[in-house]
Amino acid sequence: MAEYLHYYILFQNHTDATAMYRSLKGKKMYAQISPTPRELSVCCGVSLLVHGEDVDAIKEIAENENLAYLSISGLNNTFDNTRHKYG
Amino acid sequence: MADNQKMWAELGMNLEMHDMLCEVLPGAIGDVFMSQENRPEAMDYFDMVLADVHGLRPSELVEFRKNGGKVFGTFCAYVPDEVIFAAGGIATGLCAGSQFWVPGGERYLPANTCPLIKAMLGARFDKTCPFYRLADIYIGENTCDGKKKAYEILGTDVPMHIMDLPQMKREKDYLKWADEIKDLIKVVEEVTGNKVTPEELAVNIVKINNKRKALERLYKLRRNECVPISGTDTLLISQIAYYDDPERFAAMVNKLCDELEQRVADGVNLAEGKKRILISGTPMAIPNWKMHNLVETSGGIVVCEETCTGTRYFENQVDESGETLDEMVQNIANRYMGINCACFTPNTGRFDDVVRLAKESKADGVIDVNLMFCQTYDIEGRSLEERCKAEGIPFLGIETDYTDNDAQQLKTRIGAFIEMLG
Repeated sequence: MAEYLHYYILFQNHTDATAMYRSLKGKKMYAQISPTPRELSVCCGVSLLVHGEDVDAIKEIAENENLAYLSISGLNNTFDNTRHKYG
Repeated sequence: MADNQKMWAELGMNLEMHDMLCEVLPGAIGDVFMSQENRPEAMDYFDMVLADVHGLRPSELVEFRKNGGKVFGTFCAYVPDEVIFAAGGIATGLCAGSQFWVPGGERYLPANTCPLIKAMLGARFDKTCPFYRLADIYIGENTCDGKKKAYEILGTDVPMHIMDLPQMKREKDYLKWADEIKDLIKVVEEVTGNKVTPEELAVNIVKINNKRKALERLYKLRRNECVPISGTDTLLISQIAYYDDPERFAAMVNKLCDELEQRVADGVNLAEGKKRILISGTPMAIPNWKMHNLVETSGGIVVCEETCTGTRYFENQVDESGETLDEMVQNIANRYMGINCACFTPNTGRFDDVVRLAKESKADGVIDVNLMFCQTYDIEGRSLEERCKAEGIPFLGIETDYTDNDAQQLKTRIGAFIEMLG
């Protein structure tokens, strides 16, 4: 069982994020483009939300395909469509 | 992303204050978009643009400017992008849809000004939006008194050109708007150093028409019994339309529509068990997703927007048959004068639009949403309600702003309205 509710892959730039996204989607793996949660990085930008059980496989894919990323981090955040906080 | 921080610093942004916006937006995006189930795969492009909203497109504009390009910031669906692109410039909408910018605007404007206008000034003067920093010149328009006066204040800090939009739709008003477009051509030629030639204008009329056609295709797909995409996702696309590269945007919308057609054929129906709602009223600039989120978490699905971030932006194409510059300019003027904004009198064309769109999109009811202190839309709301009732269309009028304070009250009202629809 995953330790966190959500896992995010963080990147230096959106080009790296796009390359990883395409690779994972090409393998029919779950990946959702997401803004980087503030708790994980002070820099805004794109991250990829992935399933916790896929994290080890993703690290292997990244190594095999030379896909760059900064880190993969877990976070216990929730997506609540009834919170009604819009920023 | 470290690249963004460097760019924002070079743009002279207030990084500390901008950080506060970065802190709240990911949570809002998670709640509003990532909580949705069964979204189309091709929303991934728009998710990418949104996730890096202050990085991705601004970095392209920074590169464009490094090579001598000029960026024109715009605020309204009446400003003809065709002309700006024809001079080799780039038009970009200047977003003003966040409560985050409102207090900054209130330092310059009376509190009883509409939140969109306050957010405009807050974003500029607080230096917390890269688009406001990037634009070489802003193109305003006199679509309301608040904007007219606010542009005078903005003009103390950034070059501005104001287009004088007629407020009636007589033949002489169409000619007057064509004259205003000719004045805009002179401005864009002066700023860019490039001539607007008939050849370039013709190419860009087609380019912007293609963008509008893609959006029209998207909206028509929502009219199906099986609604293949949420209103919230569609609103995001309409918001992005204002500032994305027009050709890439049209290609991405058409790619999405290919998938949506398949979803309709496969019977994917996000409207199942929900009431179909048409939203009319004032524009919903990014990141204003409040009403769509409230409706779509209260038993409704938004199937059409009769707003400036909806049908007003893309309905009707510019006639592409013009050969001379004068003919093309008049054709552009005719298309834009066809938009039915509450700044016009009379504006019964808008009531016709709402009734037509409600029928076309098989809406169970209309929710007319007006930003607080938007006098023209607010006053017009009563007449629109009478017209909808005469047509047998259930109607709910709402006045709101960008704050979260009234969310639960609105949810109760919207929930009751949707329940009443049976």
